[in-house]
Amino acid sequence: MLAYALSTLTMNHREFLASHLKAESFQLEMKRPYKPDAHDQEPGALALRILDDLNMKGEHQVRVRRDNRVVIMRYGLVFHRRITFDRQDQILLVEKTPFQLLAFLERVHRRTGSGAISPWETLWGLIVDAVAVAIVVWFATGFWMFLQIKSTRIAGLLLLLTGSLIFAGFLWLS
Amino acid sequence: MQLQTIIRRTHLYLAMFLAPWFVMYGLTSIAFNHPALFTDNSSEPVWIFRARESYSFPINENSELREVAAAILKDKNIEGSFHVQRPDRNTLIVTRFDFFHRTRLTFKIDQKTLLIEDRKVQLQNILTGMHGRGGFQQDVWLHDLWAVFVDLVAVAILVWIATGIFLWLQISSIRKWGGIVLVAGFLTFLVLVITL
Repeated sequence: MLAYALSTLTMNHREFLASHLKAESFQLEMKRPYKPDAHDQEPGALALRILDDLNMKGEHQVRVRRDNRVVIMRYGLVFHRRITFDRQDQILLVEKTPFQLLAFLERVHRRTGSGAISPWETLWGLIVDAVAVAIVVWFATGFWMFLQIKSTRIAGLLLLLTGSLIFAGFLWLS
Repeated sequence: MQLQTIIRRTHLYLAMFLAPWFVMYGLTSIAFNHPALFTDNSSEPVWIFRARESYSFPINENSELREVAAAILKDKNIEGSFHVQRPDRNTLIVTRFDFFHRTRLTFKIDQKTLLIEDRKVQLQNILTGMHGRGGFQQDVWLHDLWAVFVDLVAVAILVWIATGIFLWLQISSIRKWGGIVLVAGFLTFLVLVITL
């Protein structure tokens, strides 16, 4: 909840904050020879094999450049990595973005469990579901507890009604 | 009024006032985590043709896209919140949106035509659109006011956490277990952040 609240604030003021940020640029992390298995010719399978060998399995996209290099974008929460495999020279280049707090918060906020390919991603997805359910449960249990307190009932109901009317007004006027 | 009473009241009244947003954010996040549940897989086109007409508007390489898009929307009498993009030098795409509807205007600058399409109403788009709405980049007062409420909800969550921890610490019988669960939550978050 803390991460969602903080990231909501930064995302809501993204235009302003972005003007004070440097663009994320990739920096060299590792360069090494790499010889893939003969079976891994299809880009998707090759990408999975490379990520597995680098112990970096997780959310990614893969594309083949015109010069036949395979480029894997690995979307981590702390860093984004660009892994380029030169099939001809059999060289693997790993680059990553430097840590930026605002980008990190936004990634945490946007990350879901949809399309999970690792158990950790599945766990993240389950926690996202748990947060969603918890929010509804907090409201329901909070409302039940509120009804037990006579002294705040009128003011609480008035605030709930006011908030609901404003919310409905937004939907109506949009 | 005692400090504890003030904290209790703040915790409660903020929740009562912002409950619709809080519940909306909780429910709509399911649509992001399970998009397949809400996606209509029919073969019907997503964008439905409304009109195609001759249209011209002076645009050059240095034109400010949002200003051009706002002028086109005003010209068509459909002003409001919008996104704009220029995928190539001869195409300008303006998407006018509200909570329930989306209208896309594709202006072919060289051909001087304007294609107007409406997006098929889909639950997935309504839910994710409502959840993702925010920011102060639109020159629409209602949009800005919504963004103020987005800020308010975010600050309220921080206040709930702080006041909730304060209230929890007053109850000695659940202090230990609450502490264990809190630490476990932070550790799980940390492990996932490093691993993902």
